[in-house]
Amino acid sequence: MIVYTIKRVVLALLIIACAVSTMFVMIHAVPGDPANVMLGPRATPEIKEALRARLHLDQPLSTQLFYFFKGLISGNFGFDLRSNRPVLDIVLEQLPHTFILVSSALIVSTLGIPVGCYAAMHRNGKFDRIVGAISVSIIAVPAIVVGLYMLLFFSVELRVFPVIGAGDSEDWLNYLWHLTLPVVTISIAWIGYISRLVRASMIEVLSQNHVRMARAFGLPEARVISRYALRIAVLPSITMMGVSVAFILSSTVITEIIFARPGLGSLLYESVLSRNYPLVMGTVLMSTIFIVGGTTIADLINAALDPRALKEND
Amino acid sequence: MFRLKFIKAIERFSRNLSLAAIVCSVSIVGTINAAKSSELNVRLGEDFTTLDPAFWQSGADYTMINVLFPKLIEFKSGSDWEYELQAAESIKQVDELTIKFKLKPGLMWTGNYGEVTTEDVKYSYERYIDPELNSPIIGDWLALKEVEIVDKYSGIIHLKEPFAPIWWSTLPYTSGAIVSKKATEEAGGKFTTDPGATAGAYKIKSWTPREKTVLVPHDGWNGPKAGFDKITILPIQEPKSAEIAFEAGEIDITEISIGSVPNFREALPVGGVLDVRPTADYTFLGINIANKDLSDVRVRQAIKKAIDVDAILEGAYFGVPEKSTGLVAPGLVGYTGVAPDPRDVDGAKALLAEAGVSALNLEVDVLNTAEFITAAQIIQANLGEIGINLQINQLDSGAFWNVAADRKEALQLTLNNYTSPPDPSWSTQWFLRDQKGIWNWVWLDSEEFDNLHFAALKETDMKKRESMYYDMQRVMDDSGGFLFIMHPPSVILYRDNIKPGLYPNGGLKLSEFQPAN
Repeated sequence: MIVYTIKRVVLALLIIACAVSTMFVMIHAVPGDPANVMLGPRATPEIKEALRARLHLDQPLSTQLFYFFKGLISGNFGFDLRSNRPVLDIVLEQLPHTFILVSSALIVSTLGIPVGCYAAMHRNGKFDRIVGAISVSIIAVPAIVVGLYMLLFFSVELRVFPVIGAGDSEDWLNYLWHLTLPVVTISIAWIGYISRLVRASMIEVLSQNHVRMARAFGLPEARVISRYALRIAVLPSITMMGVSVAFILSSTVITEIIFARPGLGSLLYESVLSRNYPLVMGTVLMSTIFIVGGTTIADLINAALDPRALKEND
Repeated sequence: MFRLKFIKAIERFSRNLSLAAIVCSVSIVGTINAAKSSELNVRLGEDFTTLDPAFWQSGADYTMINVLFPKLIEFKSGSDWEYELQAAESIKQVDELTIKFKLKPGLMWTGNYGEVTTEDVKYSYERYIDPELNSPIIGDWLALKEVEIVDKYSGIIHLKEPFAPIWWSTLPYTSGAIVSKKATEEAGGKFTTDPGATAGAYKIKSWTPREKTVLVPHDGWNGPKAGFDKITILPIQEPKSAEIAFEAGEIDITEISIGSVPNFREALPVGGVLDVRPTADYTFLGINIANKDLSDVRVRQAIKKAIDVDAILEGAYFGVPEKSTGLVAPGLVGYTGVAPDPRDVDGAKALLAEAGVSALNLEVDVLNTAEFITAAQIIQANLGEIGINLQINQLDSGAFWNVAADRKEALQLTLNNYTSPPDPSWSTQWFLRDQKGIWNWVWLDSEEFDNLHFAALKETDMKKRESMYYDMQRVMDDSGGFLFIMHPPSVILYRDNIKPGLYPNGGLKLSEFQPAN
């Protein structure tokens, strides 16, 4: 397990380096001059040139990439072109909001596991059919639509949840209150998706010999389900949830904008539009770490639950 | 057994949920009760990024600088562009090159930075022309020679040459903001988000980047009393979210999109007031004179004649704005008020035939917003009627603002919006010959235009100056390179329990917000 963990961590670092390099090239390939955006229309050509030189934008792309990694190694992520604040400070200010949003959405998404499990146990029953219909419906609805309608209903009509902001971070109840609608917006489709996935896996596992054997030995149904069926049926869902970190993270962009929440998603959106390269790269790096970290953790959990994964990687 | 456990778990969950709901309700009620009438929640489209007046960039920076720093003179809130004394007790232009002023005594900086003095004024204005500062808005003070200190409160602004916009886009605008010499020098000569000291009607109590800024009245302010005990500024990027937040009672004032005006006119939220104001900004179709397909003025004039501006205003802007009469907006020096020629499809076809053009493929570059795309689609349909096939290139803002630098003379049509403070020189400066390919995307190449622009900068006789701007707009019209569509309005939604301070263009003058009794 230790060797497997080391292998996974090294692979994760390589993936992060590759992903960040690719993003760096892509961002610089997109048309747009940060000097124009940053300095506004009235800046003289000399001032714009000075800014380009400061950002190494007058150098070849490979040199710029070298400076970027050199900065990273020394812990220097660069400075926000507009406020001149260190990128690392800005990203770290925003990270907790996104981390809490994504983590909460992931946790809420796990509601799909008992729902899918119960549906599989009562296959083709009323509950299964209703859950099936609802799941397919909510999977098909984009997060932006869910978010807007929830705002209109819960915030404007009922006035039970706030519309904007992250709330007071020193008052956890207030923070939680502000977090509710964004989390539901992101996770509602995942609850449906995971419940479908668990249901399908569970139906397959329930028909396997070891489950029939357990039942034949007269083990309690709850024990059969929790120890012999669900433990195996849930594996594809855990893998999927690792991958879902990337999707959930991308959903945070639109969710943070709609709910006017601080976070990496809205920061990335703003910095891409303004061609604020240092801030874009800082945000992309942090998001990549987040995603690769999520999939690595999912792989490690999978390996712990299913030792066959360790052998396959030998 | 399993079912029993399941039922018990549900019971436990329900109990916890009820408890949480009660706690939440108490919290909500508490929050609502805690809100006082002397608190104001203001939405801005983004968070501020720099408070240094020499480096401001966004509307949020502009709003914050105006409330935090005093100016000798400041625009009045209302519908006409007029200025009034703010930090100055008196100010007078004694000749074309000399402006004498006297500060009101008793205006204090925050912290231990003492009183606002002439030395601060001298430092604030002269730093713009310091080449080491590299201010991108050096143009506002390029005519400055020096500020002479007479005594602690009196000074004289000496200009190198006459500069008419000083009363419109310099002294009452952000470039007229006075910063603390001592605090700014301590910060190294410039600052971004921490000015060290401010002396406006309000001061910053707390700033949580990208979340909120809390302002409280500044005790050292010697102007009219601040209307609110607390102003919370919330950066909300998405206008629709801001509208929902207004309806939910979380914000008291916001700018809304033009597209929402018809809905709000039909059903205004209870206690809401809608205020639509024209700005000095201008939206126009630029037709690149330097492009080989558009080099014949008859082709450019044909394009202008074929486009139905009324349909654009109706289709893309919901009939809210008025049709533009030219570069200069209503209320500014040089506004012509002359109605543009109506659409003339037959005339357009005749011009194309005269130019020997039978079929033409053109491209228009636009920002990827709903309004611009709709406007471009209407233009596409209009030009289709005279045999011009128009391709629409939708670009994000980063790419769009670089399109002229990328494509140069290959650029054909652009649907554009330029912002402008209330002096026409801000608008005409972009179409000088040395701006070709930078901001002059039409490649207007007119010596007459350039001469008029520089002459108008120095002309302090308003009648003569007005005549010059008429002539400049005539040159633009004759070039066939510009089709002015509208001066985009600013649409403000606010509660009837506040009396907002609004500049004539809808900008927020936070220092003048008051509760409406």
